[in-house]
Amino acid sequence: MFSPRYPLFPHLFQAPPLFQNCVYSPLRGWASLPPSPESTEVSEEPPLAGLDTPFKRPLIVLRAPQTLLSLVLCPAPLPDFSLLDYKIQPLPKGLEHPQGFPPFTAPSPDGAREMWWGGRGQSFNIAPQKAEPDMGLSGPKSVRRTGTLEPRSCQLGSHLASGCLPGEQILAWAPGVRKGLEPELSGTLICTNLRVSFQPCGWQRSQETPLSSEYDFVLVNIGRLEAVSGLSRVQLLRPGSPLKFIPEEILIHGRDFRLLRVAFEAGGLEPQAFQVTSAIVQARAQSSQAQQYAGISLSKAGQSSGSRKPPIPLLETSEDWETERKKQGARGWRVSTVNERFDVATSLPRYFWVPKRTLDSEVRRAFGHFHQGRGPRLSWHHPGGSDLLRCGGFYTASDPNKEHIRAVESMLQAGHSDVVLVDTVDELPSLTDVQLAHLKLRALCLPDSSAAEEKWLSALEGTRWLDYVRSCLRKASDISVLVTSRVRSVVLQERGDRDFNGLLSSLVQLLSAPEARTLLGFQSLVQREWVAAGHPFLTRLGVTGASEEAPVFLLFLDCVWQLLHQFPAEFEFSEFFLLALHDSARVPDTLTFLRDTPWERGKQSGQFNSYTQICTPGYSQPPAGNSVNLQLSVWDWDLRYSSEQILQFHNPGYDPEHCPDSWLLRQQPSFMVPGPPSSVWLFSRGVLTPLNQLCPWRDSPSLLAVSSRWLPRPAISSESLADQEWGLPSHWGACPLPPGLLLPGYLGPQIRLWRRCYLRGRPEVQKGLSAPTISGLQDELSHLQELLRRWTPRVSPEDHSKKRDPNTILSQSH
Amino acid sequence: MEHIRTPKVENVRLVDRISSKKATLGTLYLTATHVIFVENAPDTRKETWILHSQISTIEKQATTATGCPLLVRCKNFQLLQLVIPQERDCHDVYISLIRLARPVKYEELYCFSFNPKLDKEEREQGWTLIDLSEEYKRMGLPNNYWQLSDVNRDYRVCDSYPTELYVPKSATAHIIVGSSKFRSRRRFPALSYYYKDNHASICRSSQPLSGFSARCLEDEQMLQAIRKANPGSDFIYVVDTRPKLNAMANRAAGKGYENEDNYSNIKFQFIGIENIHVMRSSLQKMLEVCELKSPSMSDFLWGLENSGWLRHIKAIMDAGIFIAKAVSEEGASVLVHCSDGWDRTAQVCSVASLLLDPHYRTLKGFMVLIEKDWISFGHKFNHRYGNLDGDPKEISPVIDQFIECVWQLMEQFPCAFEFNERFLIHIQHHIYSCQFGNFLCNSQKERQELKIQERTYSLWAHLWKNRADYMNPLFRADHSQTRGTLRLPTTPCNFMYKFWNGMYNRFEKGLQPRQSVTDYLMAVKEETQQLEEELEALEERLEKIQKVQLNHTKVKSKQSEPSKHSGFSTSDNSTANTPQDYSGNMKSFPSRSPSQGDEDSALILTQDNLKSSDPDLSANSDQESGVEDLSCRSPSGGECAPSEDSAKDRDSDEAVFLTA
Repeated sequence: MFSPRYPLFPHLFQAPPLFQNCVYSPLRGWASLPPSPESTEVSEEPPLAGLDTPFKRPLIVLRAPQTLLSLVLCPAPLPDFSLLDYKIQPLPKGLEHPQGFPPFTAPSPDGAREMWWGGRGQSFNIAPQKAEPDMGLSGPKSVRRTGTLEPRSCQLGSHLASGCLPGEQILAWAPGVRKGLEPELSGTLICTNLRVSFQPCGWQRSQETPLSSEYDFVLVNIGRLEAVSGLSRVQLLRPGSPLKFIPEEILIHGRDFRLLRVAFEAGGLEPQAFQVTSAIVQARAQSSQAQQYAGISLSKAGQSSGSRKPPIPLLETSEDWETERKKQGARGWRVSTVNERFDVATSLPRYFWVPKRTLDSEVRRAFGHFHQGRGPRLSWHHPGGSDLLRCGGFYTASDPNKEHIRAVESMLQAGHSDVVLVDTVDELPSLTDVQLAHLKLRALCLPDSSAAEEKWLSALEGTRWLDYVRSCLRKASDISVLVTSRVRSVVLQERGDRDFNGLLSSLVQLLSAPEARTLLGFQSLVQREWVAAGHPFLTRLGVTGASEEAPVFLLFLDCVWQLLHQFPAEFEFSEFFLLALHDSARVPDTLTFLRDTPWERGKQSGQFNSYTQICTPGYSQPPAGNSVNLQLSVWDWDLRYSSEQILQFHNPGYDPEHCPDSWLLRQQPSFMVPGPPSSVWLFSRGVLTPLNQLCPWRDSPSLLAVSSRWLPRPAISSESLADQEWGLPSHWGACPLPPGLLLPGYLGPQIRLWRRCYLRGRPEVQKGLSAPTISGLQDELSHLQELLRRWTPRVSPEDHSKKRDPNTILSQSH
Repeated sequence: MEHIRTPKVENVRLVDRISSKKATLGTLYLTATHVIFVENAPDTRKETWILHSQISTIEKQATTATGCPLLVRCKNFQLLQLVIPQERDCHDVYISLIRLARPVKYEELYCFSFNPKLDKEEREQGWTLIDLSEEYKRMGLPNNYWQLSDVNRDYRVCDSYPTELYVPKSATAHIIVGSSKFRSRRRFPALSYYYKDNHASICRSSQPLSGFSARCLEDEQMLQAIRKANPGSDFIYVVDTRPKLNAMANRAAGKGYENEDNYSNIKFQFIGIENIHVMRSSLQKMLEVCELKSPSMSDFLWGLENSGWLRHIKAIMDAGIFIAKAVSEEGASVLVHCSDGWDRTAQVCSVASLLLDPHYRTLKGFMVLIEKDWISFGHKFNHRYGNLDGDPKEISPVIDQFIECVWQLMEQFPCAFEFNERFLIHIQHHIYSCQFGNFLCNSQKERQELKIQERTYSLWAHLWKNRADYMNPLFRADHSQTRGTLRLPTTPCNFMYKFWNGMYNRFEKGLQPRQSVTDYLMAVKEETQQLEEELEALEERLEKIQKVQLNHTKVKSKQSEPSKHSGFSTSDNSTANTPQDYSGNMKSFPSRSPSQGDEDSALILTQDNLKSSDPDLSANSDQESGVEDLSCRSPSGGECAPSEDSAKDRDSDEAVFLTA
């Protein structure tokens, strides 16, 4: 917090080598430092009248025969540089500045000259000086510090440590003004080997959040770089192509739709602007895509002592899985340890749920008949008795013998008489479609997008993104109806079982299970259905540069946002939380989104230490600190978000009456009927059709279709199952849905563009989107509740019964 | 009523428009004022009431095996699809509705029979709620530059203008009359808004009768006078809101636009807002998109774009932004006109005023704004909204567009408006409903002749009475963004303008988010307030109790039991209904406030439970309290079970009981 007396945003300059021992002010020009100060003293800056500065700034006074220079070192926003405020007392008349620098002209009202400047600590030498008696310098309490003065190591060094991560180096920096977002901020644009950071003046990086979600731009997130000069000169910056002009402005487009637009200071600083721009281009090109910023976990581990529990169960131990299984009440299921060493499938988690009656050996055999060994596993158990399973495609080349087939069948049936097989990719876009749509959406949302004018709506339609969101929601509602209202077990089958299966099964759970709509529940859901289930985040988010990029996860987040938009009282988390998760997908601070499979993630984080130990008995325990910090996951929100921001993750509109407990009480009787006769259905385009066989390899006599009262007309229905079940949307209000089930609308007008996410780069949109008063209202409320709390103890404790109610007082007195 | 051929048809099916398979069976009633559909379902007996004046088109479709379909489209965007078993009945209903929906005399309109059971005094008070002379005073008028002119006394100069008008002080009656002769329909330049911060003003008029070369000295003097009334600027903008082509075409008819060469120090500007016919067909196209049964993403987005509706909205907004900027940033006065100066001019002037002045963003200020720029300046409500049977080509959603502009602004500045979306929707509804007298006729003169104020009630009073329903919980008058002029980006961006689902699909409950954040916030806000009050009350009580206890101990030491008892009862009396309240409160802390003990009152968020102070607004409302002809209202009688979908207004319920 700077006082208005000072120019709000100091600029930092490094003197070129020619002008060593000089200081530069963008306002006044150059001035020389005393060539050999006779004295140096360090004290605290005098307090400013009527202003309350949150910190005490060290004041350095240099004295030389001709000059008296007082410098105020500032706890800088920069890790590397200090801000200095200096006053030069007027020189005695007749004395010229040495070296012919222009003398200062405009004195400030109090006679002293004030300005801001900055520079590298080493650019001028402040030699250790002997102490001199106080010459009546302005400053009430001057804490004299004599002896060596090493600003860089004392003051600046600490800033460096607080701002930079271990292993981080500052490559270049330049002062500038952040444009586009309100308010405009002056500060410094810094490029390091890890990130581009815009640090507003006066802002201090919190120790707790080494990466700021607000001001830091991780290098790998940079999607497009533009340098702008004047009104028309725009250069798209690519590695290898040199910068053709001195940029007045740099535009950094994030792949997460964020935009950082910094206008550089004019007036002698062009070289720096040039430097920092080039540095960003280079650093971006050199940034190692898949590398985790280990420094973050190190810096975090340094702070937290002892063992810490991850914020949510990371599902890396069988206990986690067992707890989760019990929570779901899946009594017919158990945790299988067959993949403990990742020898069934590396893309599968070490543990998963299989039917209780199936032996691990059967599991192993059965899984062999599925693509990449991803056999049927339980995703979610509906309290009504039905199950949601997911599996990969059948491995057609396998040569199944009869027993294997039986194992496969029994795992798919999992004890249910009715099983509905859902071809996941049916009606859903392909991975290529998703990628193309996302690219188009990104192009459309760029600030200079030419499509944004008259043809905005059709251009938006042309991205197909909203259409894909729509089809995902529609399919998920259908499956939800099957699982909850019709109490059918559903097997989601996708060839790879790592993309849309995760999307559908998590959406179904969000629609059907109120538990999944809590903050904790949602994070566990993503951890289970995406992270542990082996969604290839690294590949899909395009970090590897592979061709298989397709942001399925971001599509999922959009679907969740649509739900949040349609049911604002049903979700404990807010849009900010979804945004945070959206942005975190590109931040390489934890391994959550940096690996494709649980196996790779585990390898990296060293969670196989115990395993290694078994192999090499002589191996000593890894250092304790190591294993602690490696447990960091994306769910450690405090890595990037301040506690105020984390508070905003809570949806103030969440209605606690939708709490999961009340819902679980209403459990319906289990419909699980073991053994034949059983029937298998294929669900496609809103219609159930009987299947003769479950597996593609041969007819199975046990699975002959029986007629079912649920069987709708075999005609192809244009209506989705959800429509059939519940009549029409307008009917929803009156018709009681199964408790906890949400059926989203997916008609054209109901699917919205997630403006707060995709149009973030367009400042004109931002205006309306910031409704700071929602949180304001919450503040008011919590303030009142706080008041009430404070009030209550005064009444309630010991003489609670006496004071509480005059009636009781009366009755007692009788 | 002579026009009702059949007052009641049974076994009518009301088809849901999204899924044709789903229909509800019920009975259709025709009354003098409403079409009523009562569901047969015994538990709900849900009622759908539609005012005749809301009916826009009735379409009889080809008879099918199930019956004869009748499609009723309403001006408030409700769509009723009925299937009547007998062709004959259908025809009767059709013929009756055709006549009922097109009254030929003002006296047939609902407002003349609507009686909310207010006495004469209350009604008169209602009409004085919005006072334009107060409003001009608030603007800082009259002052050194502007004065109230009586030139239009008894509508001598212009019959579509009000009698009280502000004109520049230097404009003499001679100049005004001269200028009026040079203006279409004699609508001479008059003040619409005065920006007291810098003396700039917004004036409005109709197009000049310039033809290809005609000039009028008085008109030139009039514009000069407007410029001089603003010492801060040496020019004025003249904004013609029409597309240039349209304006040029008008020259052939002896009308046209100001020639910059003839008028000194004007800057002339065209802003292409299309005419009422383009707007009408654009809305038509958009409503067709809304009527699609299950629109896909591309159906919807392409249809919306092709309708051009949002483009037109943007054009109006752009004009408003231009004027607001000219006034607030350049300090220049603006004269706005279109052809006759009562459609586009009204839109643009009111949008600009809304941007400039936070007062118009309050509940009362918004009423004033409509009163000023629309009602008093002779916007032709009767013609545009087809209140009486007339030329269908005159009908156009002019004020609908303005209302939508306000909504678009509310979306962009959620904290800037004191009122909420519901307020806008209700105003839109009543512009067509003819339930209140405010929007009757085409001009103030006609309204006076009809003695509207003596025979009907004012909507403003009604809205004001129920203002609690219309408050925007996010409103912050002191927010930096919302203080003073609303600043919109100059760069045009179409994606800022969104489809207003809440308006055009508002009877499609399935298309609305099923939980309303606004309602929730309102509940929270109310709760906050109650908590605050309660805290105060509790603290007071605590003090009292402590005092009493103190007394009690004193008393105990001295007196015997019975007297103690009496001592307490007096203290009880002093705090009125203390005990029950007290214990109830403690239970409900902190999530519930005491008055909301009944579960469904406060925190229910579904759209269906929208608190509606205006029963007629929900698709299936309970009845108007003041309906005079109740002969056909037998089905529900007094015992109609409150349907879930329409949260009822207690008062109107009671009124119904009384009348029934």
